[in-house]
Amino acid sequence: MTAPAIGEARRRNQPLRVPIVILVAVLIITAVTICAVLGERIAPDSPFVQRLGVGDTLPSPAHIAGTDLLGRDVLSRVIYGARTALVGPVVVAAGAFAIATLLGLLSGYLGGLVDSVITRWVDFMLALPAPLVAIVVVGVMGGGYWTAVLVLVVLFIAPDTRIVRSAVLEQRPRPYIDAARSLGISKRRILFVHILPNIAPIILAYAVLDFGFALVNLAGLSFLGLGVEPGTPDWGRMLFENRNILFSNPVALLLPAGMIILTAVSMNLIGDWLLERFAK
Amino acid sequence: MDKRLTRRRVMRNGLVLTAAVAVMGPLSMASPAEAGESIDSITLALPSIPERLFIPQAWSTQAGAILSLVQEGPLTFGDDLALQSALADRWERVDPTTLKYHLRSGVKFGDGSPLTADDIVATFKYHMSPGSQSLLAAFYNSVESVEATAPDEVSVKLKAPNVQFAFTPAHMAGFVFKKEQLADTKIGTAQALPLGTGPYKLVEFAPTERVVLEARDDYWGPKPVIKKITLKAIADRPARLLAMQQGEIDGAFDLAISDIEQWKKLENVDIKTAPSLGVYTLTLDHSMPPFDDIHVRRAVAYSVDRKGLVKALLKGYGEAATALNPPEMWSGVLPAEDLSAFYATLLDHNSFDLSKAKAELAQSSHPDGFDVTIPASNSDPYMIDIMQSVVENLKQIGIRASINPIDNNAWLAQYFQHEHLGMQIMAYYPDFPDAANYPYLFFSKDQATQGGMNGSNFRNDQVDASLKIANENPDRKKRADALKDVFKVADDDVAVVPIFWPDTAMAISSKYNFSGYTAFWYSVPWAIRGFGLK
Repeated sequence: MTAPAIGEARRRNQPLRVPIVILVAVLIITAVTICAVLGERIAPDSPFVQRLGVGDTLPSPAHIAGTDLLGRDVLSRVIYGARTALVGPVVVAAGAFAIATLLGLLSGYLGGLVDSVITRWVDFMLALPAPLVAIVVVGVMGGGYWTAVLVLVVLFIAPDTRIVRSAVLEQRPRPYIDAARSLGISKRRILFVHILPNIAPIILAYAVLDFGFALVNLAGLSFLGLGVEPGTPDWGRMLFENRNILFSNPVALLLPAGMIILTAVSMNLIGDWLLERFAK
Repeated sequence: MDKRLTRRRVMRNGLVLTAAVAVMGPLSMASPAEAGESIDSITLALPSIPERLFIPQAWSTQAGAILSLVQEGPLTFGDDLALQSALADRWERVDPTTLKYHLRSGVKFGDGSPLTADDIVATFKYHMSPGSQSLLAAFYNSVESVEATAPDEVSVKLKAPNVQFAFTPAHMAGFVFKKEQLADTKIGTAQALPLGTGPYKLVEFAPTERVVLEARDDYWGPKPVIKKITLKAIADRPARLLAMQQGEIDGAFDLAISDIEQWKKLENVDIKTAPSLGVYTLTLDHSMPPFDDIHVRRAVAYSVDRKGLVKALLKGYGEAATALNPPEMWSGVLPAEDLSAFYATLLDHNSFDLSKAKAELAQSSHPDGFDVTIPASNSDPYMIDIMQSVVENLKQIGIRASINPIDNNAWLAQYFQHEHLGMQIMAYYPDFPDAANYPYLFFSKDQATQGGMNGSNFRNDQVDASLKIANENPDRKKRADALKDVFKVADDDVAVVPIFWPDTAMAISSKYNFSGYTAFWYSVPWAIRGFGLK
């Protein structure tokens, strides 16, 4: 691999100073990840057990975050809901950047007709109102969590492609690329062995930001009834289902809402920090 | 109600009414308003305001809520939901297929012109005319002819005896138009507001936004207490509540029952509730596996926690259903005590018992369970929550069920398509209270077809024969016996799995009395039914 060109050496010599706010954000994401992985073990109750005779109740020692309309434990549902909150956005961010990286590399390095075609497609996609397109397409396809994830992957590819292409354009005129060319190294090797590692930090930073956007988008689609199946513990779905019990148990609404905000903001802060750090 | 399934939707899909005309109860005048001091103006909220105020083309609860103050039929519903005289001061069954309505004298339309028998004939014929494409045409399918047999008399000849036609002149299908106005293609728009003989006239109409009605001094009946009524559209449930809290409105119709507790917390607001006569039920397709197996059907029936759902979703404003017919639907057919005794015999399949459910499934041809997806309207206030509860219980006995929430129109369309029905959830609100209404729709062979309501594809010759007796015979005892037979057979065979009978609710400022709120409030002149200052 070619020596890194983005001030890597300088960064290596500096001690890693992580701002406190980033540490808190990392802690939050870690906690959410633990909930997602170990939900069954740490939830105080099954998120599916109904107590119809109890119905929606305020927080109590038995149910710290109260219960929803069907008497299900809200805290347990929020803990289980971390799973859909993490998995979908991770797939969206990873899927979109996997394709966008390929397109961005080809577009930025090859130029010419390939660049023209890919760039026009990106322009077209960016002209579409993404949230509305997501609502319409997911609605027409009958909803469903994985349908929503797939649609978001497609919608996220275009902006991600533009980011990767910009990063590649920045790398292409650099001496190490010229050197690689003069040595007769193949285009494929230049793209994936020399350029890609140098733009990987940028991709990682934006992928983290994508996660935050995907989380909010998926929660929005679930809120509109277009995401997970009814009954699934999911933060967006909980917002939708519990909005009518706002006055009888506001925690049932505020807790998942708060988790969406905390997780999305945490990921955005981490992404911004990574971006800032790698851009130095 | 426009988002729920109602009789009108069924009619639209080709329901043909059968059977005979009944001798009706005692004739009486419409209930007088409990007038005290007059009220200058009130503003009430509806979930929506129609784009057009013309019942034959805009048939909905909201249209009814407005036009029931402007238009009337020959008959109406009393507070006890029994038929009462309105534009006809008396009426009679001449023979099993002939009805005569004798018109009240001195009745005028909002423009001052007198009501004539020709107006009623023109209205009925308008609905019957294929060219009119009236949404209420099916209510007149059993009519052979209608004519003015005297200046103040209208005769209706039926093709065959039909008990249920007697209710048609009392609900929205019977609202009388001025004959000349029916020829106006703009009727129902802001340029041609419909005239009627009711206690109010329309003075302003902003489609989808609001209507303003003014009391008529020349109304034939009790003098309206409220001089001016504004009905405005507030679609969002929390927004309606806030509008009430801030004093922008004096009340709101069509509350979701699950919101009642929130409304009750508002100061100076009274909540009015009444049995809606609606029913929520599961249908199970008897014609195909796995629900062709009685043990599977019983397993499903034992898996529904009816009482729990009433408590959780309806907060007690409703009843766990032991059959399709809410008790009020039996009015005039079976006394309450006899009905209680009869319904007690149906209770076994309607109890919640997962151990019995597991045992039934183990006896079935699907002991290891099966996969099933149940479509549900995502705009109905209860369907998705009901199904979440049912699905979770079914999973516990080994039936891998899932919910497919879909748009209300798509849900209705697939139900009436009548293909691959499997398990369905259905919410139905009737337009008139007759004990044969539900069983005919859900149990008759005629309805087990495309466009029909019998989603269970339930076919039973004994039931059809009993339904024919109940539809054609005005004798109460014979009707009661025939319908009990129908319900018994249907229950034994688990034709459907009834869930609950919800109440209907509205909110009104505690400044006012409103004693006349009933299941059919949108078909009667509600503002003169016990409305007044406290």
